[in-house]
Amino acid sequence: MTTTNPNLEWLLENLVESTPGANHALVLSRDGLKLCHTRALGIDRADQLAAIAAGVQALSQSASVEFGDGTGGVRQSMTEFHGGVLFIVEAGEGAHLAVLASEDADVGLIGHKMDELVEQIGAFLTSPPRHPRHSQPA
Amino acid sequence: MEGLKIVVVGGFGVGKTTMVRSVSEIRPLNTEETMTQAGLGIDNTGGVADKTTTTVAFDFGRISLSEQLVLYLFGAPGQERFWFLWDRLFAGTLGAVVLVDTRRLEDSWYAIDRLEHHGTPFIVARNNFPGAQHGLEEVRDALTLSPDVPLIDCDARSRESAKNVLITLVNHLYALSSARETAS
Ligand SMILES: Nc1nc2c(ncn2[C@@H]2O[C@H](COP(=O)(O)OP(=O)(O)OP(=O)(O)O)[C@@H](O)[C@H]2O)c(=O)[nH]1
Ligand SMILES: [Mg+2]
Repeated sequence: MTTTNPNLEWLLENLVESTPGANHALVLSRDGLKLCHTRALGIDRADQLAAIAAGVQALSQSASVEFGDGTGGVRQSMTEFHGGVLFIVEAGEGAHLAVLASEDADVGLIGHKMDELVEQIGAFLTSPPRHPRHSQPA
Repeated sequence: MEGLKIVVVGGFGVGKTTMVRSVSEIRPLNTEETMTQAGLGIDNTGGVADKTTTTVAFDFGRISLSEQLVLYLFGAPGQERFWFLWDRLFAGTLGAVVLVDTRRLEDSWYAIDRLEHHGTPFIVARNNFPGAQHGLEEVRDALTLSPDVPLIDCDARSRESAKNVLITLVNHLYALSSARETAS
């Protein structure tokens, strides 16, 4: 998508700069496409991360539906691997926020900063449905 | 009891999720997401204009064909950005169904290519969307399928039809393995 919003980009850069251990941030649509990201991530890796993060969140969502208490939703997905940690939270409608951090990052702090950002500007972190919702007879 | 891992592959929007859902006897894994405006110009829904969601990880379902035979069904995601998942899904897979939409046959080449590369036996099922005009033999030619790859018609929305596709695949797998036994 080309509607990359410079203000959002700036907020993501700011998130990464102000959070020790955070290296990259990306807002993606739930169907796996990048919406905006920090510059250093680069376009190719942003595309990859968007697809991966959408898949992770969809599987986490299914775990929540099958094994959660029924209130639904995914608070956060966290994947630790050698060389880094990937965090993903739900953002505004139709979007997720992903952060890549160093192995030794403060997990609690990163989660907190991500929630804070979503709280502030979640309304702008959206990717609306492509088709107007089919009106279902009630 | 025998469990077989089967994948359902094919291009974007050919009906993979529909097929896994229509046959599964357990609640199918749901990794559908609403297609958003971010995908305009990327996800081409030509032919399936009423499609509103797409698979962003994979489908999973299960069907018992008999008391002895259980199929574990994995449906692949169709869009190119998720193809990195395919090689993982193919690991340990005994057979595959390639679903094709004859209005967009070229979308199935990648699937057939990958399966041949992995040496995974497969059958091809033509999902009967309205307006499909080609005969099955034309489909075989267009896909340059070898004569021993079964090619059948189906309606992915119908449980019976989808089940018939899976039975055809299982029979094909047995035929291949007994041919191998007689050869050795
Ligand atoms: N007419 C007709 N429509 C079908 C048939 N099978 C599926 N559909 C419709 O075609 C669309 C695509 O189906 P999906 O099952 O989502 O396709 P998919 O291959 O899983 O798609 P991706 O995961 O996005 O690649 C949906 O809108 C279905 O309702 C069929 O046999 N006939
Ligand atoms: Mg699907």
